[in-house]
Amino acid sequence: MTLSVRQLGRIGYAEALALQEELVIERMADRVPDQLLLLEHDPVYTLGRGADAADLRGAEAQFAVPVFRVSRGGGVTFHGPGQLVAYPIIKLTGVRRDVRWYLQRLEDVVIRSCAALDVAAHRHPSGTGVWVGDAKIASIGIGLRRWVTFHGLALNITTDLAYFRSIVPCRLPGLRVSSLAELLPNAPTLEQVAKVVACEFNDRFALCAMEEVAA
Amino acid sequence: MATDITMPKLTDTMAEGTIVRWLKHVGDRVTAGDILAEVETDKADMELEAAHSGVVTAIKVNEGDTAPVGAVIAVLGAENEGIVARDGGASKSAPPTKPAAPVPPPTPLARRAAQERGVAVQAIAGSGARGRVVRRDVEPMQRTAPTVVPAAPAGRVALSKMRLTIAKRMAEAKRDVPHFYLTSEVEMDAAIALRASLEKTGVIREPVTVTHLLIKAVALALQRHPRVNAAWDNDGLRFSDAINIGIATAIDDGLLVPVLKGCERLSLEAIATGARQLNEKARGGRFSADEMLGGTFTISNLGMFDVDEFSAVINPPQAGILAVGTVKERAIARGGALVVARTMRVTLSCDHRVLNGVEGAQFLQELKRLLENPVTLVMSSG
Repeated sequence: MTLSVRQLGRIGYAEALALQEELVIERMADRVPDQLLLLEHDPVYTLGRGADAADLRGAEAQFAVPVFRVSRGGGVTFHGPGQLVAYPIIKLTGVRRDVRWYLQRLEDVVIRSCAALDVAAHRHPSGTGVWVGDAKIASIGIGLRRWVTFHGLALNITTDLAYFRSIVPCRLPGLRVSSLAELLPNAPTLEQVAKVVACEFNDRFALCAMEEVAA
Repeated sequence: MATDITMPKLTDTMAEGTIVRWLKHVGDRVTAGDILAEVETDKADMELEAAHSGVVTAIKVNEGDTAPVGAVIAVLGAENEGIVARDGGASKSAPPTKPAAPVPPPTPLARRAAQERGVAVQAIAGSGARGRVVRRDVEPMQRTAPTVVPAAPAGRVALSKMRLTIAKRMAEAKRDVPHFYLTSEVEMDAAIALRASLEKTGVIREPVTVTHLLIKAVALALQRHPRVNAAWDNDGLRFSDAINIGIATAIDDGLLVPVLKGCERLSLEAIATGARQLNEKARGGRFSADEMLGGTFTISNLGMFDVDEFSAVINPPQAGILAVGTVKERAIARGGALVVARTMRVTLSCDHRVLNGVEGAQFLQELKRLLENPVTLVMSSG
């Protein structure tokens, strides 16, 4: 599997969005291989295309944080410093043309990354994403253009969780959001987590290819 | 000519989708490739593209509303359709144009068959869905040019992802799984006669092939010998109530093993239907990953390539795989005389950590008995 991993560091939301849009077009035309963008955003609230703006509950004014409504599934979420964001720009072909399959692979990537960091994370019946106990630690929301993926997942490491407490995240009222820092005595750095996620991502998607073919 | 735009299926389990936004509205001109709408399911937002050009003449589902997969959500008309239709003079004022529905590319099998025959596949009228060229369209064509032996690629060629995966997985299996092999010759005259009479009498509506009889026989034999259906699991065995049979299927540059699930509950007819559908999907490359996972046993058939017998590599953690050779007339001794009978050689590869020789042999004996007395295969409902 040719996967190009790009560490973008701290980058504004608008800039990252423009980069994704550009890469999606390049990927559609097969001018670039599959990409995994790893980065961290300045504080921003984003709304999925079908999200209810009331779920922001005025937090954008309270914290003076910009808001974007974007072409991904899901409700309202927060991105900011201390949160690892992964945007895979991947062409789903053949048997992989299945949204749920893809979303579950993203969940697997987070669950295995957490396991590698000694945190027992899992799926949760209330929806897509990754939980530790009853608190959500990673949010997932994707967009697809001609079966090329964009947007992706956000995993909280040392994120200031106050930004989440003021909103209704992921259309789930009362949802508690957690971070690795809350769960571990010594939180890993964003760079460390990025490395783990990149490995697990590569592994998980290569492994799935193995599950698909056999005999 | 109007074209219906329907709710796309984004995932195998999706029953309905939500239109979150229309980017085109009634009266808007659309070029193929334009984004018509955004559709949401679960946590994914898919941009729905127009497959053809035209003008949006109707929108049937409002923003925020949901519609079942396949339901018409909008209608695309030809550029001048509204005007012509009002005049009622479509056939006079303009020559009837065919809808611009693109014909899907020929199936891989059709392409291969056309290549073998030296026929230009583009020149063949397709009889598949939406005019797709399928193998049966190509097969009657005469060979128009001598077969050219393709030149072997020179130098080092990187493997495709799929072949690389197969390579890794097979090397692992052959290294880690202690294989042993058991071969048996099965007389197939009775099974072939049964197949013919099923076809003639129409007792079973679905066409039944020898492969289907074989799958059914394997399912019954596995039920009676559950250890062959078990899996190696970290110094232990995992037994499975479900009998999920993988059927190795060659595709262009690779191999897929779609799994027919719950064979213990399936009649011969249900197996025939299920196997046919899986085969069609495999060739079209349109599978959910689910349909390739969870196999408890695998059948690999090279009979169509005139292979007499072979030994297959086990697909871990399964305990066995059955390699099936060609059915052909062979001289066999019966009651002290040489007779000609149609026979088939099957070879069972066993994981010696799960099975010993006798256990494998008993399964094979049962399989042979079932195929040589095939009435059981039709009688058994599950």
